[in-house]
Amino acid sequence: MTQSRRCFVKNGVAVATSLSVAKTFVPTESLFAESAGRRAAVPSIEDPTLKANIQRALDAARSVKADYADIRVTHSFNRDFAFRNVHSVETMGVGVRAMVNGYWGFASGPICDADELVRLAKAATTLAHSASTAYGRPNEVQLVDRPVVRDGHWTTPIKIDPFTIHPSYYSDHLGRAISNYVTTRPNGLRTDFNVGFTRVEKAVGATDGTYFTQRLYTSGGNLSVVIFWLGRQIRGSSDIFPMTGAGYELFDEVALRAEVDRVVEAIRFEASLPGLPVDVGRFDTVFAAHETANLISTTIAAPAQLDRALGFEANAAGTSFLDDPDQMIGSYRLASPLISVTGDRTMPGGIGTVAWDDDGVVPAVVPIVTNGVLTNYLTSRDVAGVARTALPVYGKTLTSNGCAQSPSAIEAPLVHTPNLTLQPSDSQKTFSMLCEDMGNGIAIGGGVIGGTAHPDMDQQLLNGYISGDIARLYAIKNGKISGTIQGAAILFRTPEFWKSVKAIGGAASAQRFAVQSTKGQPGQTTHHTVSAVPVLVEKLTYIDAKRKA
Amino acid sequence: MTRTNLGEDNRILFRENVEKLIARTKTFMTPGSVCSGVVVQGWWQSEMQWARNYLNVSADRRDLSVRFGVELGRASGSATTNQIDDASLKGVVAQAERNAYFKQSKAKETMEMLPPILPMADATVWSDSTFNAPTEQRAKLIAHLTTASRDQSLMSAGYIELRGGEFAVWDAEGADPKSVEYYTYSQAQCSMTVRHPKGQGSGWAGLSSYDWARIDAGELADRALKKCVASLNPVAIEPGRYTTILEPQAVSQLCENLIGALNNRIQADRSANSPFSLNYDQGLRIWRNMLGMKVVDDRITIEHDPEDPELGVIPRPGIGRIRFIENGVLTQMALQERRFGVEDRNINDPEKTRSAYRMSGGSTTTDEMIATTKRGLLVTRFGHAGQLDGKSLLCTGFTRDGLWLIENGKLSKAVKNMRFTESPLFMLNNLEQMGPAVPVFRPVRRATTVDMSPAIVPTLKVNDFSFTAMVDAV
Repeated sequence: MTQSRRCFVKNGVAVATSLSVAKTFVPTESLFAESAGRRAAVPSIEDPTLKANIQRALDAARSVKADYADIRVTHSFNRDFAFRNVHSVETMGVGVRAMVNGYWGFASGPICDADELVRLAKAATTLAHSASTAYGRPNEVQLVDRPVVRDGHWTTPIKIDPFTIHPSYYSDHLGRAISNYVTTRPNGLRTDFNVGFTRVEKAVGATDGTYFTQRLYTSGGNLSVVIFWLGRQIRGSSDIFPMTGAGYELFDEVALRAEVDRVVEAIRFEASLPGLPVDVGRFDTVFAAHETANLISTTIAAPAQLDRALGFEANAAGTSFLDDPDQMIGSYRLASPLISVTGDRTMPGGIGTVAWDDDGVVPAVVPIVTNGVLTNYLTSRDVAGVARTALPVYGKTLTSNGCAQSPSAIEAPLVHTPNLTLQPSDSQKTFSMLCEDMGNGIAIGGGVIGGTAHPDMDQQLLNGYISGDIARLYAIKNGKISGTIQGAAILFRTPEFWKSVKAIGGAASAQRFAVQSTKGQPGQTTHHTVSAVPVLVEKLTYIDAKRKA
Repeated sequence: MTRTNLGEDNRILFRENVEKLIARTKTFMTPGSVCSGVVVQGWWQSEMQWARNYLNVSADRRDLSVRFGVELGRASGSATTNQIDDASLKGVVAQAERNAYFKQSKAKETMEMLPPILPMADATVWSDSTFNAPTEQRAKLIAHLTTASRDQSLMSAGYIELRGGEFAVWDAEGADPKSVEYYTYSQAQCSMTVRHPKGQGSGWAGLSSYDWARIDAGELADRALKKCVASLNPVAIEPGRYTTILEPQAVSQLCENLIGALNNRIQADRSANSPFSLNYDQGLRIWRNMLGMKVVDDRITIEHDPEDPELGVIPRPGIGRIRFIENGVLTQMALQERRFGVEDRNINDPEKTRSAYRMSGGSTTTDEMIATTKRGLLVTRFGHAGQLDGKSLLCTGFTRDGLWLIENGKLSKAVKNMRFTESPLFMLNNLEQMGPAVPVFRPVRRATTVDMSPAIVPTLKVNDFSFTAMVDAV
């Protein structure tokens, strides 16, 4: 697909339609736009009426003696395209959080009119009062300071708004084109290419005068290819288009064709590998970048969420083995000196990228692990406030680093994982070069057959289990793949795992992936981007997964 | 413009408003369009989440959704919104029409769908004590519960959720196209974890039901606290096979995949990857299943009964009582609930998924089980039970929130958590003793989910339960 073609679609569909289809009705771009003459009831997120309504509701919270209140309004659009299918979901949410004596009250609903906002503000404050009354003493929660944001607005930088793209355009020029292209490949049978887009418009106001709006876009796609090979149908998947903070420009038909070719070749190679039995013992292992991304998110970033470390998630997602911040910060060796991980909600193109978090805090670049040592936790205003009293050393001057997030205004914000980056090494090492360096051992992931390994962790994220039946395990002999290992699993302890990292990939091997995480009661699911490189880990423990005691 | 108030007195819309809403939505259709169906869901939740012995968030949340379907030839399109003003409803109808047009223009062959399985008219699983429980009372209850933990220098974290919901369907091909199928439901859950502040011990207790009055939060708090105290300073023991007493929560967690397999007759009939498929009959070219064969211990009966008052599930037409396993014999299986395509219509089985179930129990108390155990383990619950093998239902996961060694008929010491590798079928074939069946904590997993999945299971004492590694997390 060329740029000129995109521009044609974006700007000229209506003209093309009027010229080419005098008799047959073809829905035009404007008919698919959400703004097709019906938005009177739901104003734009930048509409001054919305700000006035939010201010009125904040006044109502103050009038019933809220110490602090903030209001979030979200207007979300989701559109999923498959080759012959399209589904659209539009939702609104309004959530009011009010604090009284350190107790939070939260009220939310789908209706965004002036009276409902006032009702929710009063309801949230009443809930906070009832909690405060029940305890009869102040809660330990307090909000750390942050600069007031006055009428800020930010939009995810995109080139082509995906909601202006006609489904037929997607279907013809990505879906059908790729589907037909696959059938021209040797042994190619079919392909599935599904894409999804979201646009979340968000307005946030608080009783301290903060008010800002954001328009956040994400785009992503899943490509899988089926070929007939060795007497059977075999499917391979690609992660070339993970969910990203971008617009329709993410998709490139030329790159898609090249990826189809790569997947077809990879299926042939992987399917022809001999299956090998489990060899129980300890082996050096190379993790592909996608597997490394999942491990960083689950075993480094999640344990570094300060609410988990303090016990706020004890009955939900769990606690953390990094549970003594005063003693651990700046001195606890979590990993090999090769490992440095940062959290970054300012990362261009990140799914979690924003100008302000849900507390109104400008996100900081957070060095979580620096040269293997724990250097920071992920915080929000209220959790940092608790740390001020609960953690006399680490919490003394702690501020929020901008990790407050909720999937929609219907849900109250929690500390969620930001975009993450595993700093690459200065070398030029890639996945295959690390395998060559290793010589003999095992490689996990990096293929197209099978899924991606997600570690199964205990409630403190300390002990992990990686199934070898989801992401494929490859036996490496003399630096080359010699077969696939079936029925094995890896057992590890998080600090020992990361301390055993012997080498990591260079910048050229860095890839970005979308990773999902869930926490809270009720559960909230958010996504973040992880930029990761392959890693070589020494002497991991392999077991026969199906062998009982 | 009409707007329906969702104020304090209207946590959900209720039947009259839903019927008006559906009728109003249909008026926005383009002349000539055919509406295939409208689904309206609404829910209200009161949530209280506490941690570090303080009530952290007290929340009142509600939401709704309107899904509008349009048929155009053999293609259908739908769109969803949670707004109920005229402009938004008009927009969602137009969007569904455009989606149907798009699908029609692209469709080569569309699979014919059977109509959805609707609840029985006016069916309900409803508890006023869930829907109308005063917020202030629960806040005071939590303050009281956490005081006990605080007094012992322990940290309590927990969650209470009360929910009222509604589900309404107007289906053009339904039993009565002139009327709206409508039902309401309530759900309640309470769970809590009490931990030592330095992570030296942890205890948990939880329960879910449609009726808040059936949940004794005080008893749960007491149990979690006692478990935490009893679990302090655990010692490591060797992994291996142990006589194991599994409390009902652990039994239900390990049985999740078994219930899934019992609800998947298609898999048993058509493949080797079901624990209940037998072998391939080369002569008839069909898979044989294990219906009528003994699969577990004689004492085990597992059934789904919508009329079981203790279970509390929403009755649906055509979905009656089904006894999956009777006295150890596989007697019935059900199909996965989904909108079946044409090929599945020939299967003459009216049964659909029943994830809610009751397992038979016995009369042995946990104390009696401990007293008759020379050396074994007592398990509170599992942190996770992931399936390793579909044929044997072999699972792996780890224990949490209380694991004790039993020696010479007594709990001798708390032990560190362990990874297990075991199958529910092995467990149910190696029974020694059974306790009374009681409800467990098995709430709906997402706020947007309607179906409830309560379970009533006993404590089980089983032989040779396999623990494969130590897990030193608390």
